[in-house]
Amino acid sequence: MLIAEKLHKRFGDHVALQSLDLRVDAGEVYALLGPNGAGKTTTVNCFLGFVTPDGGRVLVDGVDPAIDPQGARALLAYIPEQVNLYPQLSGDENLAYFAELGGRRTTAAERRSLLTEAGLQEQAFDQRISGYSKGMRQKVGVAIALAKHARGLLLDEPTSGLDPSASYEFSRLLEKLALGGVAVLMATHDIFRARDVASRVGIMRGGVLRRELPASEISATELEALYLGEMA
Amino acid sequence: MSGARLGRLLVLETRTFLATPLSVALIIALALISGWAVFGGTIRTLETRAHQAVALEQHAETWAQKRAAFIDLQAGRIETGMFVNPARADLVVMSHKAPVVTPPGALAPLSAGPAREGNDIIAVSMASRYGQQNETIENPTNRVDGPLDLIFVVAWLLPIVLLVLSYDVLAGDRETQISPLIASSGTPLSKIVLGRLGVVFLATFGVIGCIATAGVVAAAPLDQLVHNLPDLVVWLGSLGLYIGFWLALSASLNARLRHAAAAGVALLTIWITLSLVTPVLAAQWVAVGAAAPDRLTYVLQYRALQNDLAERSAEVRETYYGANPERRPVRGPFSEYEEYFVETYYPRQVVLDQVFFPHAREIHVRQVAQARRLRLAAFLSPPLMIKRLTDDLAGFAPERRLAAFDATEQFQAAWRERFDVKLASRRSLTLADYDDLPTASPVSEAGAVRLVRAITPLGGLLAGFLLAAALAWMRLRRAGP
Repeated sequence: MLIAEKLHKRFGDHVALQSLDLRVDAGEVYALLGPNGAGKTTTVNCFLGFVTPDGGRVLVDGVDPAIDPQGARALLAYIPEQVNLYPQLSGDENLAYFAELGGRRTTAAERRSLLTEAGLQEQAFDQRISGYSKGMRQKVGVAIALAKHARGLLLDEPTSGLDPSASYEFSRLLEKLALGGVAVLMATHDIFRARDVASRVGIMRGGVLRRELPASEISATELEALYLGEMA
Repeated sequence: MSGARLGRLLVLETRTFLATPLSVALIIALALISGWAVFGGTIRTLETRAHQAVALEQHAETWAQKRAAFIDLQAGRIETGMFVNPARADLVVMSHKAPVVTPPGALAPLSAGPAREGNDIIAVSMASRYGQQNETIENPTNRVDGPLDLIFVVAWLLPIVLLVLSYDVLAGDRETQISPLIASSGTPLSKIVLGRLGVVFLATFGVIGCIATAGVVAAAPLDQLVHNLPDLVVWLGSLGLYIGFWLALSASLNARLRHAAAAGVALLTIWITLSLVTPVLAAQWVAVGAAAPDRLTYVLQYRALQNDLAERSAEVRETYYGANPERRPVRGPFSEYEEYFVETYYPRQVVLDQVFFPHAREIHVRQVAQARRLRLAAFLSPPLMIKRLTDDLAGFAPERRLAAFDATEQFQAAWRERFDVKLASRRSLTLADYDDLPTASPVSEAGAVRLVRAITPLGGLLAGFLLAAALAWMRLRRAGP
């Protein structure tokens, strides 16, 4: 579903991605671990067509975002690290707006169901976003992604700012989506969340995918040790 | 993007627009100030029509009273006096003023014109013709404290409103980091921007267009409505292009800039350049190529000529009588007044007109030349273009004032031809002299003439819009989050 082949990207003198090969199948959650500047966000941005690779290519269900960015984006949902929304609108109105932009017309009942599924408390649905915490905005972002019924989900540090219980619920949600056949690519610093939810984990550094391993075969402690070893 | 999809996007963006208090407040403020301006323009137009109707009625009524008095005199029902004698041309005709009216233009409620030239009603008598010049451009207070008209709101204030409503259409989302989320939605950023600016367009065009249409309809007599329709359609088209121009500029800047403040400053700079600096430069260019009429010189010339003719009054009189033996008096004067006005004042006025009025016409000719040059100069400034176009369609084209001047001259010539010999020779008027008077038709222009004149500014607005839209489209196609 999500494929990167020999992906290269430079920003001036800085090499952001170097011969990156990556594959995320439908129904799989892939966690991309790495420090700041490792190339995780650039990889996500390549799939979204926000960044055009200098070499290699990415495919979203066979669609190259460099050639047909809108076609690729139509197949994807995206949750950035900071979900910023329109402060003058309520959570429900923001969801309606972004869902409509994604080509999905939603009823009020559907939106309430989505916001509930994303973990937002009901009394916050009609409050303006300007009064939301970061975690609440993140949940609306999840609801927006759910509303799109996308075949691929791209997440950039999605649990940053979420409390432990919200993070846990979020992980369960990702598992549910994966079970429904969605391919999930998650860029994260959170080793334990990655181990908890991902089927495979990739460790990046300096634009290179240094190691790739099935999450089920190692413990969180082992993964942490491997990660720190790669960073050394 | 299909029409239905674009329609849904507009509905979607309208909800967002309505949820933004500043946007709604601005549109309400725009509606109020536009409504006030058009209301004032409508009242002004209706009052002008009413004054003109009263002037025409008074003329007809006064003349009918004089005719009735003449019949009474013939029947021996009244006696004559030193200043009352319906059979004497000097008493009946010399002081009688017939109005030549220039009805308000098709879009008169939308503009008060560059200045009140006072040519709405020109009172014409055998001896003189002049407009009701209560206010003129020479009075600086008229320019400072002039009426608020819609074209001022449209040309100068509307771009500010558009700027505030659109300066952050995409740059604001970049600044608040919402743009990655909207860019990932699957709807191209260019279409989202189009939807947002489409809402601003519909809101501003809808408000101003409806108010302007209401004013034009309210101020026009029923039989004029159809006649005014093409002018209104042209103006609404130009308003659409004008709004489109500013929004396209905004879209063009927002395609790249990452900070709303930078986009706002850039747009403000463009506004200052196009609305304040360019008109000054255009005025300089107009002044160089088509000099403004030097009214002081004309006034001094007029005074000098009057003095000269007064000094040579005997010579003037002899020339006047010598030119047409029929004018020789058939009787002596009844009074010194009659002698002065008929034999001295009137011949002097005739010569004054012959000598001076070609120069007076030059004022209007120069204004026409200036307006033509200004219509070309306006290509550099959309605010100037829509101002010129509106003033022209509102009836303030200098060509129209020149036509009024010429019509007045022709009408006075016909009036003089009719009464000149009777006045000068002191022959008695007859009942036939009271009938079938020369009448002045209201000064009007064919719709085609007005619309052809509008082609230049309309073409300029179209060119400006297409240029800005093409630039915006090229930049937006490559716009990223």
